[in-house]
Amino acid sequence: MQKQNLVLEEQGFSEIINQIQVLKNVKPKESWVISCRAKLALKLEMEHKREMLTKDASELRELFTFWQAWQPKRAFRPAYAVAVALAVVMGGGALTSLAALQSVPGAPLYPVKIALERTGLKVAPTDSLKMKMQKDIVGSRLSELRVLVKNHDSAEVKNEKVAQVVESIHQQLITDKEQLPQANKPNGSEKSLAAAKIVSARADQVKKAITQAKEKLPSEVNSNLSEKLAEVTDMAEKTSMQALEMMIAKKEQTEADKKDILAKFDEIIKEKELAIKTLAAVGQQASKVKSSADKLPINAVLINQADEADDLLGKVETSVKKEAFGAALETLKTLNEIVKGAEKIAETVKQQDKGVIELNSAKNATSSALIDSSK
Amino acid sequence: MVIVSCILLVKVANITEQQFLGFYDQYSDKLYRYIYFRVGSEELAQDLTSEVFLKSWEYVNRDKASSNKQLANPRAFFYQVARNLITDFYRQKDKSPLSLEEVADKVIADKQDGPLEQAAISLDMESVKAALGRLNEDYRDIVIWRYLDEMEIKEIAQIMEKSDGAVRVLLSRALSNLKGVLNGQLEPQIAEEISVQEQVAGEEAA
Repeated sequence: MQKQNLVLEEQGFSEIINQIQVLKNVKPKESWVISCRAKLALKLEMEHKREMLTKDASELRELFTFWQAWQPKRAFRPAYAVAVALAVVMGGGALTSLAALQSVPGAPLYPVKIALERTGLKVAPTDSLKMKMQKDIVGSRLSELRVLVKNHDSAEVKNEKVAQVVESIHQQLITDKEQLPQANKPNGSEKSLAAAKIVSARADQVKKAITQAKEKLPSEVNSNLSEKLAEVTDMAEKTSMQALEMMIAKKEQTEADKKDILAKFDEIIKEKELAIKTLAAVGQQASKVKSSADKLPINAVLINQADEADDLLGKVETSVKKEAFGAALETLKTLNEIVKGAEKIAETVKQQDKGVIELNSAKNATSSALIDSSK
Repeated sequence: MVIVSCILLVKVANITEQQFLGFYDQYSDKLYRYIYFRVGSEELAQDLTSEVFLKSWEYVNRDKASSNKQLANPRAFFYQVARNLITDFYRQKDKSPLSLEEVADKVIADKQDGPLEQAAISLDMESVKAALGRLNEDYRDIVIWRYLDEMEIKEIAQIMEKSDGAVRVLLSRALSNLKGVLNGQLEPQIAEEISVQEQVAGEEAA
């Protein structure tokens, strides 16, 4: 109602309103509009940069909180000032290096990170430091792998980046494996044992990380990457076993050595138990899926192998309890072969089951469509 | 006062520099015109217009950290900032706003070297401009917003922090006053104190 009144009232003032609207011609000078816009844009840009600088500065301040509390003695102040100046000059490079250390494959600073690692390894003054650096490098690759698996890249990009990291891990494992026999020298048995322990732990870490990555990676992982992951897992397994063999081969084992070996066996037994359970589950699942192509009792073979592996695992446990580590290791090697073979069969069964399920779904869909069309 | 009113309008501010410059392109001409009719000086209008955008960016940026919403009504927001800046300007300079006659005279005087030169100005336009300058602040604002900037009543109500009904009554009175001034029948109603709310309530009750 009020709106209508207003419209009517405005109609009464139409002449004045038309006169008012002529004032729309009042406009600012174009040169002022442009220069004012330029000033405003500059101001916004400067503020943006200032914000970024403030943010960076506060992050750096947090990093160096420990330093703020420390003050040099009066006599050392000039030297301190020179040191700070040098640090500032070199700071740019250091900050770049710091940023590079956080990078993952695909990032612009990633090649810098790799170059820094290689240089570090080349100039490492002692073997123990070199071993530590290698450990850090593998740790870094595994962290990258975890980040890449979580990233929301496309399957193609993810495949490429993960393959790059996995290849790097593979190379490190090859280096580790080559170092093991060299470390097994009579003169340096203590040293070589320490090295074996480090390599063993590292190989186990790699195995776990690759297994987790396999589980989390999208189904579109290409065959090349799939093969590479399997190869690296196999290599990690072999390296781990070789390292364990070295630990067992050491003469005059101390209680600490035995403890380490027991812990290692304990870990392996748990891992194998899980693998055997998975194999048995796949065998039982396979028997539920009906397929005309499934003429051979492949599921029975799988279940049988799982049983055999389980028996062998029992023997390993018994030998370990008796501290007959040599016998336990030999049985473990046989067990590994059986598990590996069974895993290959399980993979085939899984693929077949997937095919049968897809085929059955397609058949069901076709039947439904035919029924619908006949109606 | 400026901050309080801006917070009322800036429901959420999370806009980029580019978006903000887009607002400048969209509203700078109109804001300049509004300020020009309020202060009667081209130079001052330029200074205050640029300050409107700088202040607005400060508010928007300040709120960015605590809020994730969008500028509810950018046009209303800029006009509110402009309005408050004009008030603050006169307050800080320790001088009262130009008298209505002064504004009218200045607007006419400025036409010689101001932006008005660029347009063909008729005698009618001149007299409307002078008449507009003789209205009180609220009347002048409401006429500019409604008929030059083509704002909806709701939007004007938002800037003036009044109800839609009160704005309609104000507009009606502004037009009547303008007509009176143009016809030489009415003296400008300086410092007119009308309880618009009461009148709206009366009209609604009737």
